[in-house]
Amino acid sequence: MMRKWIAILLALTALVAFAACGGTDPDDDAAEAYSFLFDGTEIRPGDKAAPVLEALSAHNPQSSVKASCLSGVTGEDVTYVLPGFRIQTFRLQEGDADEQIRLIIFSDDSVATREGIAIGATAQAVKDVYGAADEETEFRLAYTRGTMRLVFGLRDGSVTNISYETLE
Amino acid sequence: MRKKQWIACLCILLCGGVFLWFAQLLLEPKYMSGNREGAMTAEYYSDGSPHDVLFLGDCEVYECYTPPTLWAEYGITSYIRGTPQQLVWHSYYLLEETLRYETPKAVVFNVYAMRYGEPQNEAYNRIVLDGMHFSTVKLRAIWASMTEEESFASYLFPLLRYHSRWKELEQADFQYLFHRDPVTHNGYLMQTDVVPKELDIEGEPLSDPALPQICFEYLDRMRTLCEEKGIQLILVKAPTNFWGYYWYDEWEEQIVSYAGENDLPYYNFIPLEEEIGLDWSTDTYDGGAHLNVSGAEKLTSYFGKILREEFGLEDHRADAELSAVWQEKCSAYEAEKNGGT
Amino acid sequence: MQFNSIPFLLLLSAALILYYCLPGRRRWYVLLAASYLYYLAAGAEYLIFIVYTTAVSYVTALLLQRRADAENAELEANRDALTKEERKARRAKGKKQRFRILVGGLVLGFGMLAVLKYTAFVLSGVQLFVPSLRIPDLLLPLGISFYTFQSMGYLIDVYRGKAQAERNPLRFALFVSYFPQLLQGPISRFGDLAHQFFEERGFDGARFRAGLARTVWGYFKKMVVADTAMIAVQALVEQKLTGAYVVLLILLYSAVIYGDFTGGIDITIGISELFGIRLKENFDRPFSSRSVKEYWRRWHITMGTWFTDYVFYPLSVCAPMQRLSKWSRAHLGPALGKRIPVYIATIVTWFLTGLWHGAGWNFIVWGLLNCLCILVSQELQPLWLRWQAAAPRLSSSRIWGCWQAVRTFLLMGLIRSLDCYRNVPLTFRLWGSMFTDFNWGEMLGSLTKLGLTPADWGVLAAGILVLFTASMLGKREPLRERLSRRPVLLCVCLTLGVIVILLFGSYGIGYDAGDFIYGQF
Repeated sequence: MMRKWIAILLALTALVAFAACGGTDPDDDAAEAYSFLFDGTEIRPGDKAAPVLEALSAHNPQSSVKASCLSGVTGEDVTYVLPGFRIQTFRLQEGDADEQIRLIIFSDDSVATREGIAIGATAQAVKDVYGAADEETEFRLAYTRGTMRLVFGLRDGSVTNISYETLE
Repeated sequence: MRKKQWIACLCILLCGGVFLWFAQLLLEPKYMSGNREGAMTAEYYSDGSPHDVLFLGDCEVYECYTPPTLWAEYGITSYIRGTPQQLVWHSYYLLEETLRYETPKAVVFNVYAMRYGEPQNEAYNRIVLDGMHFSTVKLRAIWASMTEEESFASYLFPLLRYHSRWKELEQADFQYLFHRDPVTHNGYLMQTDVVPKELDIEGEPLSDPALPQICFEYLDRMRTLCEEKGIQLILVKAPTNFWGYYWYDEWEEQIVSYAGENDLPYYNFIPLEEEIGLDWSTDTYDGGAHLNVSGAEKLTSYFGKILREEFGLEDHRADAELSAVWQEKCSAYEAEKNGGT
Repeated sequence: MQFNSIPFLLLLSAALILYYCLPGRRRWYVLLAASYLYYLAAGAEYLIFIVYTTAVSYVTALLLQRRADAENAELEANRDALTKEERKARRAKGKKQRFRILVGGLVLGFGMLAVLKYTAFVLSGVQLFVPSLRIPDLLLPLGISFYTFQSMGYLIDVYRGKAQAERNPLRFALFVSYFPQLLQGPISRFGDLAHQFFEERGFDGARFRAGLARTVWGYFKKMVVADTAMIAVQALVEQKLTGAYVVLLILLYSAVIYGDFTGGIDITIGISELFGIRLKENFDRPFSSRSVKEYWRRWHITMGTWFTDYVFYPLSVCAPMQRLSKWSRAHLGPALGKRIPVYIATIVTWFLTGLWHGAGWNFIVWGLLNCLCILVSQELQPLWLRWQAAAPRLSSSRIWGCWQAVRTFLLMGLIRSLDCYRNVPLTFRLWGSMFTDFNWGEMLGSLTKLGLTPADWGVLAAGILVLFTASMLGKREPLRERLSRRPVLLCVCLTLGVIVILLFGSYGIGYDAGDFIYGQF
C-alpha cells in the first residue's frame, strides 16, 4: 500500500517536473554575417558609419536627415546616397562618433551583392545562391546571420529591392 | 474612534488629496517650450467657436494645413486636431470626443497613419491622451493605445507618471499651473524656417506591403460615425513624400481601393505638387519631410477650393460674430508669421 | 503581481471589503481565493507546482497522522497486554515507519524545489567536463523556496507530534498559499498561523490601524529608500568599479536589502494585520547587532529558526552524529571531540542556507563565510572574555557597543556584496581593491554618474535618516504601536507617508528596480 502511494506520487512528481521544461532553442550557428563590398570598402550594418563614409568620400555622398516628429526628441536617421545604393544611419546629433549604419539599400542594378545578385534577378537565382531563406513570403526572401539580415524584396518572382539591415 | 476623531481624519485625508491634486498640476509637463506639440490636444477645448471642417492626423496635417488661410480665402471655419505620429485609433477617439462638443460638416483624415498597426511609443501616446478631458471616450482611447510598459492608472492619475519631475521643475511649471498659452493657430503649428529639399529618393524596402487590418477597422468606425452624424469624411495624403516618411505605391493602391469601395473622396496631393504650386526650395523647413508656412498656405489654398467647389462648404465671412473671432486669430497668425510669437 | 502595483492594491482592497462583509467562519474562503488569484496573476503555468507541493504535504501529513493515531490506539487498546519493552519496541517500529513516510514526503517536496531551482546549477558544473551537455531552461515558480520550506516544516511538525494534520484540503491549501507571504516570507509554522485563518473574531480597529501604518511604512522603505539606492547599486555592479566604489556599494546595498526586505516584510505583516492575522516578526533592528551570531538572531529570523529547528538540531542529535561525537572524543580528545559534530552541523546548515538563497557559488560562499565568522568568533570567545575582564568599563561602554555594531554592519555588508557581483573571484578581487585603489576623491566626485541626481541622493539620505530615527525612537515600543493608539496623529503620518511615497518613490516607467529582491528565491 505504502509502495503504491510512493510510486503514484513519484510518477506525479516526474510528470509535473516535466511541465517545467521550456527548453532553449539551439543557438544559431555563428556563420559569418553578410556584408556589402563597394569600391574596396566593406560595409556592414551595425558598424560605425564614420570610417565607411571616410573611405567612400571620393564618391561625394549626398545626405538627408530625417528628424523626429517631436521637436524635443534627440536622435535622427540620416541617409547617404552613393552610386547605386544608399546607407541609412542613426545618430544622436551631427558629429556623433557612434553614428551607426542601420541599413544598406540598393537603388538600381548597377551594384550587386558579394554573391552576385542584383536587382532584376529571379527569386530562384537568389535561392540557388543563398539556399533556403529563413523567411520566405510572396514579397520577400530574408536571410538572417547573427544580428543582421539580408533581404530581397520580390514582385512577380523578380528581385525589386535588396537591403542589408541590422537587427540590433 | 470618536466622532471628532473621524471628522479630523477625514479633513486630513481631504487636505492630503488636495495637496496631491496640486502636486499633479505642478508636476505635469506644460509643453509651453521645447515639445510644444504636447499642448495641442488640450488647446482645442479653449476654442469655443464652431468649425465646419475637422482635420485629424499626424504632422502631415498640423503642419500642412492652415485654418487662418482657409478662413481668409474661403470663409471656411476649421480646426486641426493633430498630434505627432497620431495613430488611426487616436484619430478615431479624438473624432468621437470632438463630436461631443460639435458636429462639423466635413472630417479630413490624413492616411499616412494607416501604416502603423501597433502602439509605437509612450511619448506619442501621452501627447495625444494626457490633453484629453476625462470621459469614457478617453478611457477607451487609453485602453486601445497603451504600450506594454505603460499603466492605465498613470493615465488616470498622471502624478504616477510625472512624479519624478520635482527634480526638474522650471519657472514655466509654476507660471502655467492653471492655464496654458496657445501654441497653435486652430491646431496649425507654424514652421517658418526654410531648409530646401535636396534629395528625392524612395523609402526603405517594405517587408509587408499590406496595411494593418486594425487600421482599416478603425477607419471603418470613423466612416460609420461620420455617416451616422451626416458628416462628409474626406481622405487625404499630404504632398510630402520624403524618404523617411515615404508613401508607397502598394499603400496607395489599398487606400484607393478602400475609398472606391466605400464611396469616399480621396485626394493624394503628392502628384499634384506642381498644380498646388509647391517649390521644394522654399516651401519646406526640414528638407522636404514637412511643409513650412509658405507651403502650407499654398496647399490650404488649393484644398480650400476643393472644399468649396466639391463639398459646398459655406463662406461665413458675412457672419459678424465669427468674423470678429477669426479676425483675432488671423492677426495672431500674421504676427507669428512675420516674426513675432 | 508586485506589492507596489495597482492590480495588487485593487486585489487587496477587494479582498478586504469582501472579508469583512462575510461572517467570521466564511472569511477564510476570501483569503484562499485571493491567494490563488494572486498566484494565477504571476502565471497560470506556475499553479501546478504550488498545487503539487500542497497535495504532497497534505497527503503525507495525513498518512503520518493516521499512522500515529493507529499506533496510539493500538498501544492504548493493548496497554495491559504489553510489557514496557514491548511497548517501546512497537513505538520504535512505528516511528521508523513514520520516518519513512516523512522522508518520502520531504524527497518529493524538496525534490521538486531542487529540480526546478538547482538543475541548471548542477548541470553547469557537469558541463565543464561535458561541454556538449544541454542545460534545460526550467521555470522557477513564484515563491517556491518559501512555500516549500513552510510546507516541509509542517510535515516535520506533524511527524514530531507538534501539530495535528489538517484534514480539510482547502484549509491546508490556504496555509501553503497565503498570498502576503508568498513572495518574501516570513516562513510561518502551522501551529502559529493556521488557527488564525479560521478563528472567528470581530473587527479590531487598533490592529487595523497598526496594520495600515506598517504597510505604508513598508512601502516607504521599499519605494523611497531601497528602489532609489538600487539604481546606484546597479550602476556600480555593471561597471565593476573598484576601490572606494566597493565601499560605497557595501553601504548602498545594505540600504537596499534593508529597505527591500524589511519593507517587504512590513507590508506582509501589515496586510495580515488588516485581516486580523498576526505573523511572526522577521527582523528585530538587525543593524544594531554587535556580532554575526546576534545578527542572525535579528535578521530573517524565521529562516534562521527554520534551519535551526529542522536542520541544525536534528543533524546535531542524529545517530550518525552521536557516533561521530563519541569517536572524535575518544580519538581526538574531549576539546576537539566535542567541537567536531557541532561544527559539521553548523557548516552543513550554512551551506544549505546559502544554497537556499540561490543556485550559485556566490550564495554558497556567502553562507560559508557567515559560518566562518560564527565559528571563528566562537573560538575567540575565551580571548574576548579575558579582555572583558581586563577592561570592564571600556568593554561595557556605549562607544565599544557602537564600534561592535559598526564592525558587524560592515562585515555583513562585505559578505553580502557576493549577492551583488554574483561571481566569487570577481568579488574577492574587488574586496582586495578596497585596500589598493585609493580613489575616494574620484568616487565622491562621480556620485552623480551612478544614475542618481543630487536630488535623488538627498531623498536617499533623508530616507535613511528617517529609518534610523524611527529605529532609535522605536527601541522600547515600535512607533506604529504608539501611533495606533492616537488615530488622528496616525492619520497625519499615513497621509504624509503616502504623499512622500508618491512623490519621491522610485517607480513607474524608467525605474526597473521594482522587483522585490527576495522574490527571486
